Amino acid sequence: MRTRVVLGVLALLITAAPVFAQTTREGIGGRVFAWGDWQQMTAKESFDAVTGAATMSGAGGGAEVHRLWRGVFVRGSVSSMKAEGERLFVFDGTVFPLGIPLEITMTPIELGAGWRFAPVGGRLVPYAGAGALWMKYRETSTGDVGSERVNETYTGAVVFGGIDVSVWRFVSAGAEVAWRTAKVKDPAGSLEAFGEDDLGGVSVRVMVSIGR
Amino acid sequence: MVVGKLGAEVSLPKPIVRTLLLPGLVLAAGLSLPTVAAQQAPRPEFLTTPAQREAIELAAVRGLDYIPGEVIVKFRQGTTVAGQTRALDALRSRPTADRLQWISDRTARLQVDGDVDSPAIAAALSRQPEVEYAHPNWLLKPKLVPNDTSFGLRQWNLTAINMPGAWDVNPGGAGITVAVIDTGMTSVTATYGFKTWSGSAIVTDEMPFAISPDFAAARIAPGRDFVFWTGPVLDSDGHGTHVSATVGQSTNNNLGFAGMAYNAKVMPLKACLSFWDVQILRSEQGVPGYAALNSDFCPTSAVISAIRYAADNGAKVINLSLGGTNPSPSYVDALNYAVSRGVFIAMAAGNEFEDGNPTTYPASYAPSIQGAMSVGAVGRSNTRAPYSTTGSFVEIVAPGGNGRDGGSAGLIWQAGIFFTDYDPEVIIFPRFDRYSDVAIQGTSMASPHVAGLAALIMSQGITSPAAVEAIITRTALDLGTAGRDNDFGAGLIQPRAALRGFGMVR
Repeated sequence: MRTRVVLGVLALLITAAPVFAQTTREGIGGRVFAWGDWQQMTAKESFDAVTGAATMSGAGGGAEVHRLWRGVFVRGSVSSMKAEGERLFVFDGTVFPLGIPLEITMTPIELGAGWRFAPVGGRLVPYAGAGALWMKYRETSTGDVGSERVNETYTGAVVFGGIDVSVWRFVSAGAEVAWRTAKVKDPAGSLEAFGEDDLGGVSVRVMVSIGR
Repeated sequence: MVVGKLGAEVSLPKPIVRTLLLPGLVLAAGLSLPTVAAQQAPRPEFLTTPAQREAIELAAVRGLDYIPGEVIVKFRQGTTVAGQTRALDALRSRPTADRLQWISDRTARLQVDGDVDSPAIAAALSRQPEVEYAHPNWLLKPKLVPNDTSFGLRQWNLTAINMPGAWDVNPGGAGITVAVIDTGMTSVTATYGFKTWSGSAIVTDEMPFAISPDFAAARIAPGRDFVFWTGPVLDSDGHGTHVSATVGQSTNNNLGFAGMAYNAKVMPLKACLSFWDVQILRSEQGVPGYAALNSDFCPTSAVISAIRYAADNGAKVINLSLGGTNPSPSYVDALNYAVSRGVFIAMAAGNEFEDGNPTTYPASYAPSIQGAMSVGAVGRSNTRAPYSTTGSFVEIVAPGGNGRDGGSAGLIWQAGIFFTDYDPEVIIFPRFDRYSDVAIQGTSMASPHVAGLAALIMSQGITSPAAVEAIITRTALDLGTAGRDNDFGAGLIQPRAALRGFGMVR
């Protein structure tokens, strides 16, 4: 077993070698990107009860700096997701909607780093990374006053991986899967009713980037 | 027609229709029948027999907490008439089964002639194999600490629980009926010729009654009288009117005071006799003299009948601002029946903290029934009212008034029957048609705040009584010791928070 692991790591290093060779030739690069994403919420039951769906969709973008050292990159991104629903009360497993409109806005801010692997077939560049997550969370209901408005930021983490395809000169398209976690300490509301506490989830993104 | 703002005496002219009565009706008045200044409806019958009235007066004179000679008995499932007769044969007077007045399919009220020892009767019946339980027909009291009325227009109680904010979420509880089981709320404007004692003779006195000018008649659901007569519900005490006003007094009408669920309907169910009810019965039955001043009671048999009636006739909330100190399994049955029919029940926790703090019934059954709540009282400073009973059965608190915290301004003000028109200590010929500002304190006043809130919650979409209790408890403002405590239960009701429910994180 240990032998296989060692051989696997060696294989990765050998594969990364061409990227290193490019780095020494190309220098630090970067790109800006935009994405549309669709997220399956970890707190499935809570979101389903409040908004009628366990998923949210949104858009975002960011910037990356490549080839800091070999395949290392750093990235920052921000996105926004919104959903509408209504306030409720959950008792003994039964959801009682109360007819008061509610809007949820989530703004994940990610700061991470990762590794871009050697291109496959000359154009496909896989990558993977992880980072810190700040989930800005806002809830507004009709007629809210004062402290009834919810405007909080929850910290967490993100792990992501994807693949870029060069489509034209400095333009690439890609797809990425990310897993976010942002725990709410001492939740009340539907999170508490369903025993859930995580505003993260698994996100699938379709990206367009410009850079090198 | 009533004119003028509340805060001053409001008088009604004598009904014009009386001058148009046909000679036949005038003759009817001479036959000592209660006259009705309206169309010729069938003559209402008094519900209390002379023997029952005597028993109630005896209870008042002797300070008994049960109706002498009356018990409530529940037979076991499957007991036949023969079995009922066999059980009744255990009693000295051997009453027959036709003496049972049925309240539900297995529960009945039994009046035993010639024997006033209700506890002994109940004990004898309880020993019979056909009997599930038997207990005296306990007498309860409306739960208020009466105080002098005076004028004042501040409803600190509604501000203290941010009712304006709650009404922003739900303006009034439309579509819900709240049954108020109490001394009644007058549901007609009419004058009745009842007999009473003048001081030297039994005479017929024309007693006027009127619907409160600050309670829209359209929101008074058909009620029922379980103790006085088969006619319309009449309040000759004022307690039921005050309680009903807190539940649902008309609001935003430039008149008087506001109520919690001012678009809900109130179903007045009279299960409590007032002094005047007993006095009228006494005089109508030809007995001279005055009734005892303390002969205002709520027989258990009437209260449990009213609970069942409310559940079977569309009420979604019941308010019980009354109680006693005797356990009654018949209450448990009735309360469970109502909750099983989707009815939420608010009950006054009791006013006897300074009188030994006894356990109050039926309020003490509330913790074991999800969907029924026992309500204590706080004053203006959110401190426990000094009279408010404490104990493990106190589940929630609401404003009930405290005269030691602010004087009369610290009481609960509502539109009520003008007290000096019927004060039994000074008035011989009462009237019940004039309304003014009435200030009272008691857990009687706290309980209808919770009943009104329950009506608002139910109209919001939470239809399970247990869920209504849960959201009231969850959103309460914790008072006293952190967490649940015997003084405040879960805390002070917060109607706006309860009506807003929850979002994702809060």
